[in-house]
Amino acid sequence: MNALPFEVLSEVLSHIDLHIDLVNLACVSRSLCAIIIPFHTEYRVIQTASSVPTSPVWRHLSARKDLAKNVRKIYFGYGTQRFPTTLTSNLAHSQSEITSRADCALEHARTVASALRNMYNLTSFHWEPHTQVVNLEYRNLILVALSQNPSLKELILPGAYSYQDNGATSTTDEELIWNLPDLTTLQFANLQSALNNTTRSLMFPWYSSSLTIQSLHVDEPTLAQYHSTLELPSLELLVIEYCKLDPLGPTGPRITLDICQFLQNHPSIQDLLWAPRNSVAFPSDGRQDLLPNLKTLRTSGEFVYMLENAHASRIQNSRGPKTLQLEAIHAGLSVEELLKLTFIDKTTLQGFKVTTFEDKSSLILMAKAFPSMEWLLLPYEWNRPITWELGGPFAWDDYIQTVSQFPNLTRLDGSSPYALLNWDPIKIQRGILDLARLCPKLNEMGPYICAEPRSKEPRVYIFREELSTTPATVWYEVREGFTGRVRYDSRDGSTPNGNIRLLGTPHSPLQSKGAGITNWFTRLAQSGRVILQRGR
Amino acid sequence: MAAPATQQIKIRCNDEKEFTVDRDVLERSVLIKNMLEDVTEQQDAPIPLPNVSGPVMAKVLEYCTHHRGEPLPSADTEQSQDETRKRTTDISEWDQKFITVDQEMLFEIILAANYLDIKSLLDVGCKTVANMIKGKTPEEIRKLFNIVNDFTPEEEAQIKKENEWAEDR
Repeated sequence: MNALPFEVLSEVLSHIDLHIDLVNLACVSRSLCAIIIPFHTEYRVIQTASSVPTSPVWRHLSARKDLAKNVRKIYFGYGTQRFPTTLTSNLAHSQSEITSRADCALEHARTVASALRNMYNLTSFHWEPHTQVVNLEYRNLILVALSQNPSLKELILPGAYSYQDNGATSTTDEELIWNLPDLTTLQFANLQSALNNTTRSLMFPWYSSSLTIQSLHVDEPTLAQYHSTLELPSLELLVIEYCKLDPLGPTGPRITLDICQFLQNHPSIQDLLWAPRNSVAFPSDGRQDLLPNLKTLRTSGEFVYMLENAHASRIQNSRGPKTLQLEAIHAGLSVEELLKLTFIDKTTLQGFKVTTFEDKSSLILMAKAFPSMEWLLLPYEWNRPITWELGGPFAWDDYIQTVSQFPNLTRLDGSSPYALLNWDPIKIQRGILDLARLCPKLNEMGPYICAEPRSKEPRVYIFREELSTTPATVWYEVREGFTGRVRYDSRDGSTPNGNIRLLGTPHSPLQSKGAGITNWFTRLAQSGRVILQRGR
Repeated sequence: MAAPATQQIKIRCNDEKEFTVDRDVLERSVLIKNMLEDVTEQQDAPIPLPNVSGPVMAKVLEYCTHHRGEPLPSADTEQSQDETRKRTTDISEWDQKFITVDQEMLFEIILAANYLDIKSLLDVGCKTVANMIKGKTPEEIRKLFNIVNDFTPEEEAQIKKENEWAEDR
């Protein structure tokens, strides 16, 4: 392989997507390293702290097509700066961004756009505006450059860059014709009320159809506006964000109804996060099942009852979702109410986020009624939503007896066990052992349910080494890593286990990961593995 | 009226092995296509291909014959060629079977495709090598391609450490 000419080796390297594979190849020999590091690994990911980047590196990338084509992922406005440091001899040494006057902003935008046009292997573009005001012209120049990049698979535009929009249109808006045939993930949400319908239609990449979109994150008004023309037959994950209403746009119930129509037209949806504030009847003609492939539902009590009513009208499939997570945005769904629902198949429901319950016996009834339950989030106060700052009357013995009623429990989320034991690490270690003994399948505990699939919150992982004639050795480790939702990670080629980082090992010393519960969890890690019980 | 007979072209490899091939098959190679376009008169002398041996050319011609008639990537810009290659994400079943050869032949085919300027074949070869590398440790790659390790363990560790940052992306 060392005999391959530079351009052929570069071609081979362009087919290697994962950073870890590139680094492993760079470690093979000096000659490979001399090509891979400066030309590829340095250029694969670019990350800027600013949402309106102005670094001279963009000038460099706009001039060096041979290097720009190696860029795969770009993150604007994501904390730590990450710029290439090799092959940049034509640049000023400073990697810091230049503070520019407003009238220079457009010049910078043209440079960034020109660099983006050279990145024809770019697969991901994330633009997080934070609180930075993004000029409309700047935004449009970037979006026009992106709109013609057919290699793009992931486009994350959280949307607040319309701050200066005020409904104005610009000349570049008219040129925005999207050509992204391979896009699988689109986030286009939180457009604020300032964005009028005309501008939204010019910005939204699909108002007709896309065969490739699998994941869509969009705000309510935009989805409602395009519900009748949008056809996304491969859509699996749909996140619909609440958005302040456009005063001139449709009203709340109308939006809810339009979105329900969209849901009905998209039976491929497996994972839905939408918490509508209005309750409407599904506009079904009764000929098709509603959300027949739904596996995970994170929603409001209103939507649960909309599904329940649809089921009563025989338009809802009989199985229901496998996991149900209710966001306590409006009135939550109590355990007693859950037990009465008919659209959920009691034998298949695998998870539930409990917000309220009237009596502990209801939880026991739930354990009996839903034998497949694998994960739970339990509050530690009676009749109250989960608020881990408050102490509660739920005694530890009650708690573990209740939890032990769920024979298939593998994951226990929420801060309740730690709060009930007063955040005392010694008591908690004993508590984890109690839970490990009473719930033989329990292997993961976390402080929160992770709303973000790629969250790196620390979690407790429980291990047992079973021996037939002696008590098992039981230990736990605190790790940060992605939780549960494996299928998202398969899309970018990484695996959850490959990304879990063990906290507290000699190779990865305890780090302060922010305030509050996360810090506390990190302290719980101690030296990595904490033996709770030794088998003989 | 009978269809016009396909023009036959002779080529000679670096081991004196000669092939007589239909012009449209040979024109999968941009190098040969350009050569033929530059020659206005019919010539009987074989086209010399000093960088390709007979056995490798036989494999290349097998590929070109199978793919004859398929549209060639646009030669306008580097970008359009690259886009065409990116779109064909996976290796087709036939190509996969075709490229299942020993390592020496694989690299010979890649070098020939590069010399003859047959983009799609170069792409199949490069993807195959990339797939062989994926998921392997440095030591496994060295063993696979018979590469001598000229790093000290400290240097190797240093490269890993310096490039650790993006692993969670």
